[in-house]
Amino acid sequence: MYSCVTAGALLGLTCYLVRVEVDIAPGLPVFDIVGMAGTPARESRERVRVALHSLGIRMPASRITVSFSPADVPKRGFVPDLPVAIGILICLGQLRQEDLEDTLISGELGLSGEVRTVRRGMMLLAETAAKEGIRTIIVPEENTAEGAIAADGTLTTGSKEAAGGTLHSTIEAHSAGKKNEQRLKVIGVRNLEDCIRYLKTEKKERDAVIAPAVSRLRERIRDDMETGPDFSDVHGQREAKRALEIAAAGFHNILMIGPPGAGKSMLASRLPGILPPLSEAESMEVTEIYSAAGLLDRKDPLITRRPFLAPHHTVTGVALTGGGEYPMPGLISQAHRGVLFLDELPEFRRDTVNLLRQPMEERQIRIVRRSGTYTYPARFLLCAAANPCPCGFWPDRSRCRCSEKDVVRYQNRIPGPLLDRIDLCITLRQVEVEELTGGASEESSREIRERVMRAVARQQERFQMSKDCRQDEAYLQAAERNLEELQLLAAGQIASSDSERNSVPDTGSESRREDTPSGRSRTHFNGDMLPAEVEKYCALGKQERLFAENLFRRLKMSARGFHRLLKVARTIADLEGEERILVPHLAEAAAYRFRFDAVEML
Amino acid sequence: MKRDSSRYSARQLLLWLSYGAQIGQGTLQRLTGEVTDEITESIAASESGGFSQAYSNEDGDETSDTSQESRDNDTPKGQGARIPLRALFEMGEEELQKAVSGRYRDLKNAGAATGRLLRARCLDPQGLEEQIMRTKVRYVTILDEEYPAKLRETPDPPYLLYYIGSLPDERLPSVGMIGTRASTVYGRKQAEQFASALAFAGVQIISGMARGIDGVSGRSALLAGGRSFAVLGCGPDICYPEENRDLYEQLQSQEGSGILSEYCPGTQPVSGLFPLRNRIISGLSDALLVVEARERSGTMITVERALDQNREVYALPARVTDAASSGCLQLLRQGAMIATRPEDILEDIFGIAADLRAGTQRRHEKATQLEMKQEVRGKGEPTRITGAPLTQLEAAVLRSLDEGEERSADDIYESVRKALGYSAGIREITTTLLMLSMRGIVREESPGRYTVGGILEA
Repeated sequence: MYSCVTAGALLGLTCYLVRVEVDIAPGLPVFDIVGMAGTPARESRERVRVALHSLGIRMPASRITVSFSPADVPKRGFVPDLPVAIGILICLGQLRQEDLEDTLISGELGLSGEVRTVRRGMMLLAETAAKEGIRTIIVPEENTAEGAIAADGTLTTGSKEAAGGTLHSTIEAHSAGKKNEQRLKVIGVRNLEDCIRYLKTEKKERDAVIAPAVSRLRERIRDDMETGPDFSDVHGQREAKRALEIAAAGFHNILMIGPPGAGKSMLASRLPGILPPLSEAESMEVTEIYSAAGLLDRKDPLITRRPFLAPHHTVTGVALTGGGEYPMPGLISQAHRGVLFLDELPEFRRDTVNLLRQPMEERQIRIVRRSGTYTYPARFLLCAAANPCPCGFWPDRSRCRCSEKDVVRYQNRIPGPLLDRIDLCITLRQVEVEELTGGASEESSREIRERVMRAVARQQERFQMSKDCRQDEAYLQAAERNLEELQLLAAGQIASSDSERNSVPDTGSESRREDTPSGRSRTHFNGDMLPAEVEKYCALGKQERLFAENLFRRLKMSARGFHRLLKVARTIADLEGEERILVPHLAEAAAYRFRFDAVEML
Repeated sequence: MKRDSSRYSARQLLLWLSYGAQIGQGTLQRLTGEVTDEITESIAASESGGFSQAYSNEDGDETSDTSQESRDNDTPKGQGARIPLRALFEMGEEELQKAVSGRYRDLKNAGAATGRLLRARCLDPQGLEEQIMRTKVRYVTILDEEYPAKLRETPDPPYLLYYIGSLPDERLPSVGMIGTRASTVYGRKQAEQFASALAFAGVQIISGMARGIDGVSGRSALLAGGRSFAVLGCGPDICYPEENRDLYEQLQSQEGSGILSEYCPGTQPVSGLFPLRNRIISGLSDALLVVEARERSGTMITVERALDQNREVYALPARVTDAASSGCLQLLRQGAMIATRPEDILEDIFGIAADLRAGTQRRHEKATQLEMKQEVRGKGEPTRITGAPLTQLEAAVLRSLDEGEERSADDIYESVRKALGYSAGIREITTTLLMLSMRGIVREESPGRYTVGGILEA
């Protein structure tokens, strides 16, 4: 007897369908698993046998063959327990092949017959299944919430509502009573018995046996947007707040320098709160990454807030960029669409920090392993904090004995290539006691966010970004690369690199970025602009040009510094609602340049 | 084996000791006693053909010796006879060893000194002199007439002084200006004021060329067209600290100024050498001005030396909360003279009448072209800066800044808002500060922090 069950396997950020074929034929008792199955897949033999036994079903003394297709793709981390068990049951006549029409099965089996959680990628699996025309997926009960996200039609791209706007607007649409189309039925089972029972039931009555999961996640979204740490918690530090507003509006990387206790960490953790709320598409993107990493909360898997990652300065390069034998998304990918906060930047190892350079250029990270090349998106806002000098209190002479040379030397610990990509630098000072106790009212994150969103709207118009960020070239490339990888594997050309480092030789970052496939833009915000775009969008009037030239000369800028100045000025103008960049915008932008590398004192 | 030192002058021998054998002040004193005395005796002895009868005499304790070489002397002296200068050159190896170790209790240091002397035997004093002549470094020994008389009269004058450029002119008054390396805006400002005013009035400024107050003083004196001198804690050919290289170069090139050191060319700046050079700063000066210093600091050691040398000590007051000036305030309590304006010192030096002094000040200020500053400061309502009228916002910002203290936009936020009556945002203030600094009206002292007062154009 022969049976065929559809399952799915994860590779990086993509899932692909695996056909699990089972055949039971007369012959010497043998249980063969073929199809480049990994260790867990081969071991499933035992688990299935015992699980079936727990239901009183004995494996026949026959020649059992299980085959996974595509046969030449090495399947890693692929646990086909439940599909194999079902396949065997079909062969034994307990279930019919028709029962599995348009159905995908996934899950690990415990020896007692319980169906165990799939650790990663359930959401991606559900996505892939939906795309391939599967109507029902049977998954471990704990994974249903994740699967349900993909199942919900309005939460995915492709539907008209999704293209519209933020999650917020979708809630409105939903509460207005629009019916949400479920494009996939997500069935959660607790054990093998449930699964069998479900499949044995007539299709029409199946919903009564186990109801398809519905995502109840919307209700939480509204709350999430309002809670969270607020800018009004921070007293004083107006300059810093202003700089962070600019950073948020244009997605500029920012460096804060100040003494311990000034509030750098506090402000950084509030930065995600003034970024525009995640759009649905962005939310899906981020959720997918976390799904692939296995970091989603089982009950509440949808990521609705901008990520905020703050690694300690002892973090390893691999943890940052991603790695491991089957590479998981690293911290920079987990910070995708959000904020990566590096506190005490000079304390980080230089070579670790230098790893960030390329992902910051390309908005993605490519990890090369023996098993293949994995590409993950990494479009994050870098926020960094540092003390000005080893003791931390410069230039407060009553506490600091460091010389100017000590200051410059300490600041030199921040690698140049990273500084080159930081558009804003702000110095904080100690908070005065009057500010702490004064009771002056501080602006809330919401007020700041509203201004930021207006500026973001202007940028969206300028760069003609569709609201569907899936157009994001980097993101698509990442997905495409993973698929390409599969194809390459299938054709037998496994990436042969033995090295564990994820370095792709830097062929000159400028040229790389420019040859993007036509039609797709890498630039969403002012902070992303390439020199050519700066020239195009930051054109200056005559008076402004004179002023800018004066700035360039007097402040001894480099070309890159000037380029950064213009980008920041563009964002400041956007915040003011100005189409043209004016002199005050340039002046303010100049105030946020980094100038610790040549502190001039007598 | 006896060598003959009579071919060489005492001066050359001293150079040989310093440059060739690298015998420092402390070591030489330990070996020969007071140099002046011994030289006279040994010259007399060589004329009469024999060594003079040295008498063993435990001298009083040396001045604070922390130099590398004086580590030789950290243990109580031995009981050996003092060695005449020429003998150091002439004595046979064994004899020398015995004689030198006789002067030490700790034989290890004795060995080091002997070693250096012996190794220098292959150097020719005349050759050394010629070698030095070929460089820009000059030297003057305590035997020479040109040796600064003021310095000679101090308890522990260096037996040899190297210099590039000029030595201070004995006929002109000199003031030593010293202060902390970790200076504040206030300290630097005052150093600038005093140094330029004093220099302009013809006073020579002597300092250490260190970071902070020293550097500012030296520079400002040069800029005012005066004579400026720096005494280094390393060889005169070495520029330390590196960030004052511009000052180092200018002191050599500007007429009437100079770099001085008691350490031979090539001596690296080692921390132990610095306290010793401080006695030379005060030794060359008529008075010492402490601009800004903390209690128990290196600057305070210099003050002690100055008091030993009977010099007048002036201290600059500051606010009682200013940690950087705590030493100055302490000095004032202990009876140092107070200096609030350059005139205070000028008065004492020159005894000039009040109106003449005022004239000096005015001329001085015009000479440094600080008209912009003049208009902004002191008159209450800044309204114009070199032609362009100020906006209300600019005026409010300027009024909220301070000459002596650096302030950020955050710092002046409240004050500006109050002044304007309507609210100005932080971004307007940030922008205004930057624009004013571009026009040279305010100065960015450290990133994001400004003071009012134009930039001194060099």
